[in-house]
Amino acid sequence: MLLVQVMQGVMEGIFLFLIASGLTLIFGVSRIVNFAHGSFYMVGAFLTYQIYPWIAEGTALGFFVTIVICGLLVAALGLLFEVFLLRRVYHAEELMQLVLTLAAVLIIRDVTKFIWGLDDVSVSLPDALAGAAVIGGTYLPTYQLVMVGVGVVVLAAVWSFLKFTHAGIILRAATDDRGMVALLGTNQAHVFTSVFAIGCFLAGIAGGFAAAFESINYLLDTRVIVLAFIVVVIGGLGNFYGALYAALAVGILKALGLLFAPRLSMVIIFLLMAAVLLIRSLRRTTE
Amino acid sequence: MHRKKLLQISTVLVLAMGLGGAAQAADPIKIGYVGGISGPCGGLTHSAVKAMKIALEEINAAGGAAGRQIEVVWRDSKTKPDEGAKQTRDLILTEKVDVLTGVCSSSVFMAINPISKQYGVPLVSAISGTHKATVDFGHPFVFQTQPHTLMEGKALAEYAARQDWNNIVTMGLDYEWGRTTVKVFTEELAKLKPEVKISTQLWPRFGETNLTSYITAALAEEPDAIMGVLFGSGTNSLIKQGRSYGLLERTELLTFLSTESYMALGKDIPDGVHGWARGPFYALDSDKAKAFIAKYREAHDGEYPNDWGMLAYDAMHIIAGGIDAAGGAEPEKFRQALGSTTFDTMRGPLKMRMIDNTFNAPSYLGVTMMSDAYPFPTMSNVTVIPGDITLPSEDTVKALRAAAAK
Repeated sequence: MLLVQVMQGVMEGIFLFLIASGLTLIFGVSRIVNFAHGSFYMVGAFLTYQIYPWIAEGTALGFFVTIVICGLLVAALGLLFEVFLLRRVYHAEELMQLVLTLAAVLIIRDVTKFIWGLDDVSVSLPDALAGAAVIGGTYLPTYQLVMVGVGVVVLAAVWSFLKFTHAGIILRAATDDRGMVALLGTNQAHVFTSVFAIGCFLAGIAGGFAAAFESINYLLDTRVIVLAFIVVVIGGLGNFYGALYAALAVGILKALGLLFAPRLSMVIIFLLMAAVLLIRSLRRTTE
Repeated sequence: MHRKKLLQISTVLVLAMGLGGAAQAADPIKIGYVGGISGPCGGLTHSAVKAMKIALEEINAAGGAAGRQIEVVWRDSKTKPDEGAKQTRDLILTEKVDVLTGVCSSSVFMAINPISKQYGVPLVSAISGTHKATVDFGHPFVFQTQPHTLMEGKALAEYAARQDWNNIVTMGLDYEWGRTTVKVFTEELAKLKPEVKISTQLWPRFGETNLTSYITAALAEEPDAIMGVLFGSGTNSLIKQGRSYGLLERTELLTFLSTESYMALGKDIPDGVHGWARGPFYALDSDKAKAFIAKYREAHDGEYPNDWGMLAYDAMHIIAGGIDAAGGAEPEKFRQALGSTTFDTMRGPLKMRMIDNTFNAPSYLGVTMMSDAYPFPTMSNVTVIPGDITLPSEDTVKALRAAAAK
């Protein structure tokens, strides 16, 4: 039973990582706390609902194709948002940036309401993905295994991008010291825009996966952003790998908490966040 | 001459009085609607607003209530207690409404309730089901037209006791409604069938949609049934995610399933889930219900009303009926009229009792099944548990009120 819940926690953690990775990437490079991240996630979910029937409803291949398309569409949307709006406030005070991304949350929510209405909608899981591998009475649902796979692919892709490509080196450098990167002649704007688009792509595909996993409505944006922020904060703002560990820790803690103290399982996660924040700030003051 | 003048004056007076009376009769009765048109209740409330508008048209076309037309002022509480309270005050003080209705979400209901009490303006709840507003913190002018949490918990216990379930896991949303329903359910079930074991109680956070860890934790108890007190996205996620865990092959599931869940999930709701509902349109076959459903669908592109639409339509007719019987909207007369009238609603004849202003509204339980009749599954073999057996005893009401007064 312990093992079942740990597995369960890992699967949930990887999914959380999928949502939080984009958020933390964007923050790492451009220092923007993107409240609209949840909104891009929601748009990904609704687009999946819209587009899947046009591609090939009911097939697993059609589902993956749909999700990639939706990820790209959301990335395009994010690109437009960055180029036309967000870019203008990079040099303004942080409050302005917050207000702008918050405005995006409200606008996207209202447009979503206008297009898809107030009722919940849902994407049917393709039958090929609906089953589970049963090992000694333990159910390992195919779909969640697939999501774990996707999480690993994302992780590997981002890792090799950061490690081996020229753009990745610039990105890492930009996370460390933006000013120096600019001084060395790299166009910061391009770095920011591409990272924002990549972050939105990740949000979009996470939304697509969520569409088949839960039922979606126009409140999905704020529903998901809280946990995503918790993960990002625990992992260390802007720390990509930290987000992975944090997501796994949150997932596993939640699942185990249910086993031992069902009433406290959410409290435990907040306690973890508080502890991490406390330790970090203590370390900072003693340094 | 003198006499003639007197006659003239009195004629003018009588005419003036008559005209005055006529002018007064033409003055509409104002109803203030305050409900979660946006926010978490948005998905439930839109159907309620549509349904109330239909009821309003019918009432006014038939001459209104107590000879006066009815006018509704619509306000959005955004499903937030403070916003609901603000709107309610404004409805009472600026719009001078005679009756308040709407209300979605227990927290908003609890915020509005004291304002209705303070100004003595009747408040008729159409959607929110917390019993705290009418029982614990009840006052003469707050009314409940649908089964509240105490009644629903008892109806669920009645239903569960009739099944072959001896080991149950509860999964209730971690807020007022979930907590209270689970508490009443377990207490009532212990009275009806003491041998039933509640092996564990799980409390998903409100708004949580990844329920997989809860599902595995529940299934680990190898229960005969899981009793879910979730709604909307919560119920939908439980059913969707349960599929991969073979939930329905391994146990039975009883959960709140109102019409919008069927519409959202469609064929993703498998056959054989035990559902409970407050106003399932497909299970009501009174002529009244049929006529309303036809009218609603015609006005809204063939869309079916959800449970909240059904309840709201009934509530509007109950309000108008009460005003009619009272000969106006004077609060005490309105209350007396509600208490002494049997209302012919879509859910059958309903009557209010005076101790806690609660109607004997029924609960509906059944098993899901896909049929050809609708594009989504519905409940078949619907069991109706009448309000008369689920209403709390007078002693319970008194005890709860005494506890709340402390």
